[in-house]
Amino acid sequence: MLLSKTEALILQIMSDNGFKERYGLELLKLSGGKIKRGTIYTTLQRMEDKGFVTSRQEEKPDDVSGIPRRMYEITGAGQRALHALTLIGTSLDMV
Amino acid sequence: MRNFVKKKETGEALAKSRESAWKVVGACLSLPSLLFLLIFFVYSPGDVALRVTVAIIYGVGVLITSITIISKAWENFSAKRKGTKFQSPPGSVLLKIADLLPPKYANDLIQNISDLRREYCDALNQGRLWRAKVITTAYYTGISWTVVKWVINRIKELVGITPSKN
Repeated sequence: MLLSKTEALILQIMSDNGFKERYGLELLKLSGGKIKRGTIYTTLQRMEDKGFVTSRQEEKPDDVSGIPRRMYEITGAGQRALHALTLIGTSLDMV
Repeated sequence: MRNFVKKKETGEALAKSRESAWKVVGACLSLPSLLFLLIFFVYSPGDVALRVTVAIIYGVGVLITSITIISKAWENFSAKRKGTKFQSPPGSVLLKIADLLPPKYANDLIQNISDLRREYCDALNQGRLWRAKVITTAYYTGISWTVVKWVINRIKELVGITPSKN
């Protein structure tokens, strides 16, 4: 499966920061503006369909107001895809 | 997160002024409604019973709608005079729209609204009112642009052109 630029960037951000669970807004901030607000969740949904990330709804206490966030985590397949992309990038640089 | 004042949590003075407003509005609107009934009864063709029934249904509908609109406006006006301002959180209408969408699209929209509210409230808590407005505008623009692109891609699919990815 091919990775788009945005997908690769998201996987890179997730792996650079200790493979922790992240929510969409956090990924936006960590991308430094490279990912657009309007596309982040569509891209994450596509990546989840491909199996590169998983998501779960954040557990929210009853006394706290607000919409519960969806947390995203990179999967093994996502790590392998990112690793493969990195290898390709490195070998192209060497040529 | 800043707590938004709910429209139902009004003080006793506000409730009393709203009651008076209803009485005034009801009296004002009942006269035009009766006038409408009279004109409809006299000038429209057809069965008398049908004319009267239609006129009553229409008149009641106009009355209820007008009272609702005017009472809400009065409520806000009274609240502003007392120094409080009723405000719904940003994205409230979009949340209602999300209920009508399929789960895949609803999830995207709800997450965007969640982020919008967090950033909006963070800006308000820092006292940065203009930044809060800019954030709201940016999110609404982004969501609108996503919808436009989706519509364009669907049209391209229908026509037979390969749709572009995000």
